[in-house]
Amino acid sequence: MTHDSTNEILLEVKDLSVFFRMRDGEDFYAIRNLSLNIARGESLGVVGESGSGKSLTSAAIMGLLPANADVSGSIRFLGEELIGAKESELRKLRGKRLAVIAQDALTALNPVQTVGKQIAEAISVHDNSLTRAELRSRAVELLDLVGISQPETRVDSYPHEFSGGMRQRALIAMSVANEPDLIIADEPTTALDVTVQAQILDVLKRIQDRTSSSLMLITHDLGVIAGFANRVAVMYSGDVIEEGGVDSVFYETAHPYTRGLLGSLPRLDARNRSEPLYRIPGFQPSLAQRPEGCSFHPRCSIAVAGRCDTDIPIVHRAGPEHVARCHLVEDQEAN
Amino acid sequence: MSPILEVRDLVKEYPVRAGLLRRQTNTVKAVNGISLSLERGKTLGLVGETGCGKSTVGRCLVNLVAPTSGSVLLDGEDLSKMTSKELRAARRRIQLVFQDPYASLDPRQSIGSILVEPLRLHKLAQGQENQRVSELADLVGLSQSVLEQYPHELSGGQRQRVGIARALALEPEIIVLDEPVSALDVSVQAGVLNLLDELQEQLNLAYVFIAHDLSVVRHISHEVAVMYMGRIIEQVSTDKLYETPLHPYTKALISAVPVPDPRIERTRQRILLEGDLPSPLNLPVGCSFRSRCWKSTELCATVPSLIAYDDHGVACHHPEKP
Repeated sequence: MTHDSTNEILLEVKDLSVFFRMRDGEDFYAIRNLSLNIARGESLGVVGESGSGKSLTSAAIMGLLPANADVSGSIRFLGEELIGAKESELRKLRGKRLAVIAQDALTALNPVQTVGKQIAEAISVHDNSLTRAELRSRAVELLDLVGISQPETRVDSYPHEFSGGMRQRALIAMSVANEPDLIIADEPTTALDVTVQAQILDVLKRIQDRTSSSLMLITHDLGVIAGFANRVAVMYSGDVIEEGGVDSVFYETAHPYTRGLLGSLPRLDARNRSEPLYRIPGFQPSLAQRPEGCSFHPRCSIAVAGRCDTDIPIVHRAGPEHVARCHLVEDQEAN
Repeated sequence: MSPILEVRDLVKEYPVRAGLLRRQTNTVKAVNGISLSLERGKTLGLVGETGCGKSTVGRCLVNLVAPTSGSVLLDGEDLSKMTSKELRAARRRIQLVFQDPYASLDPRQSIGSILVEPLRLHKLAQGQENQRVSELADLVGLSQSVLEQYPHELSGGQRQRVGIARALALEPEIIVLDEPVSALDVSVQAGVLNLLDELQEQLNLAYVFIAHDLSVVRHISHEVAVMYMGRIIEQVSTDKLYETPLHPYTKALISAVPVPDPRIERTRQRILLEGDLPSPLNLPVGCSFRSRCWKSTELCATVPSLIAYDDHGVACHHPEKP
């Protein structure tokens, strides 16, 4: 793996649980005992189907959960504990050292302000020493960085004058304006066409190379993960069920869900109709109605009765820097 | 064998209106002269990015929108020349499955009654409607208990199966599938794709499979047509298209699709296109891909026609060497 030589842990999430108190009394754990690490300069891909808790995890890290959510566990960012931190402390962090790129660029941008103003605001919120002219030239620079042509004129455009791909670029420009240590990109390319997706991923990669910031890339697309991430965490029903280096997870897959997911993908490089796709039976339970034991056991082809349907699996070591939450994974020697 | 479905020079224009009086100021050519043919029991994939006109083609095929010019021939008969009675009979033979299975099912009807409706309208299986409905549920892998339920109680995959069952109710020969799996999670998508394969084999169905996901299209189609800004720019049998694409756009499109395989991804060369799709109101003169193409020359100021090299059709002045 190509970690930075320091291998400094930037973000450490340990035993994170998110508990929702509902008005109808049907309280539930949306996320339970989730652990994740991101080292400096690293790209962690977080993959999972809809309703697996991916976006909730990023909201928990940002401290942006709704009021009826109780958070427990620990989220340490640059050595500081974020859970229980004052809102004023979090505000200093967000957009400065910890940035988010939202999925839907149209709703994330303010329609009545020019793109340049919005980028300038992202900077001046944290640093009000810059003059207006300086802010403007910084915005132009950033638009240029994310590959928007004619940035000097585009800086005065409104979001509706931009195409979908350009809006996404503008959002990226905003999020990297303060050279954050960690960028959380939540499905940054899902709404885009594939040729535009390729452009955006290229921009993200270039920015990461230049600023050595870490990236947490949340997506449902295993192809994007394969091409972009150093490590990958697979989520199912509010848990990280497998985590490790991309090669280990893709080629020495330990969890039956991950295996099923990879087998169910039609591949661009597989000949036409070569074989039927693997189909994982059933569908993912809602976070509020998780089955007993391992959440995946009702859909699992190798589940063992009396174990998988009763006990919640703990994390087992599936290889070097590779873990899986499955009863049927034998612990490997640590090395 | 003669094709079951043929499209000749199909054009669909939409007026653009502006101002207080809603005067027509411009026209958008959503579909700009395309020709296709489909054989019984085969799948034709229709791919392209947002706004390329692929869904409009689908809608013209089932006569949901009337083409501006050109014709759609079902077994050699022109849909636009049919009487309303003939059209009704023809509609039975060609059915459409929509992308969003939630929006296309009536929320206040049970699944059973949703499936009975087409039978009643076309007076099929009279007196045995319920039996036929339960057969349909079996056919698409839905349990009988689903028939009592309402659309909101079903998962996305189940709803899409209902959409397919409804299309099958009339025993069509052709099904136009407009992005049938793009709203589904991958583990669910696989089940629906396998089901479509099985049904085709069992019932000798012909599919027009409209999608933007090139991996899905490779898996399911026998032949693929690539669309760009209302035109077909390349058309050939599936594996040939993916292995030796001739049009620069197709090449770029294929190179942009990520493959879930880290080792392959690390060695792949991406062709990054400049800029975005042009506005359909303001297309470049000549080849519409010209504004993003790295091969374009003065020659590209004229519209390239679709020329077949063997059976590999491509509309480009500078195609790749096959």
